[in-house]
Amino acid sequence: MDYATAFAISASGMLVARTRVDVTAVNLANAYSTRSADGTLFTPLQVVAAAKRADLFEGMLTRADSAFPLGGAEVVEVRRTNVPPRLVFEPHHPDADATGFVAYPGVNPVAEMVNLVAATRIYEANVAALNAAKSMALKALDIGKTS
Amino acid sequence: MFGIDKLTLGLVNMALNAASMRHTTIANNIANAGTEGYQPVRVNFEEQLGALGASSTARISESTLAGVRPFVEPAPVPGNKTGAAVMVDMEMVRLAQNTLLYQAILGGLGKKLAIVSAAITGGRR
Repeated sequence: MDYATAFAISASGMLVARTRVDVTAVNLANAYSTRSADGTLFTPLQVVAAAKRADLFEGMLTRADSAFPLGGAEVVEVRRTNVPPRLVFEPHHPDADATGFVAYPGVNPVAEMVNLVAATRIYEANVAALNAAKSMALKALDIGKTS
Repeated sequence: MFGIDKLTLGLVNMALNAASMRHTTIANNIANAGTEGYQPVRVNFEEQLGALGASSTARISESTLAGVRPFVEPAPVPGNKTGAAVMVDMEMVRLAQNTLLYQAILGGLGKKLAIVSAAITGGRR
């Protein structure tokens, strides 16, 4: 039983799911931010994940003839989406434009919550896979045990 | 004959390797559940054993077993190609199934070794 590989793959999946939760939290936290760190309007962020090549892992299950090296998943980038801002009429706001409208980030709370729940479930699935690998590995230690 | 025969142990070893490999593929599929354009993978092993049993009327021997080897292949994706190809629920079912199979094989191996052990000790405890 190749525990290291199974653990590394599940851990990579957990990392991707956690990043998605983090990004969702950032989006929700900034729903009322009219400026981001660089002064421009904050735009909702999005996680782009990709299947990872196995050669990044040490001791992977890479047979020389295997056309499908298994390396888990990874976050390629966290990019800004170009969702149009939500305009609210607040003439006395310091960031209001000439017509009295303030641009708030176009964060979609429903989509963010759906994303949050989905990422949580995927995280749980990865934990279950990790636990299955653990129980298989522990069972293998019982070979030849007479009880 | 009661012996630590190579055929049974070879088969058990291969089956354990296949189950371990299958676990890796399932973990990989789950890890990539949110990845766009990911191709799910599966392990091809039982098909080879089945084909072996169907093609030859003779008993499975070490030489016929030599050609059998578990390998990773792309899993057929069902018709609905909308977004994620990985079905996490089905992967979880396969995960539970595979874990039980692995443990069952190990249980069988333990029994086999217990028989050998009994033969060595002459049935005494």
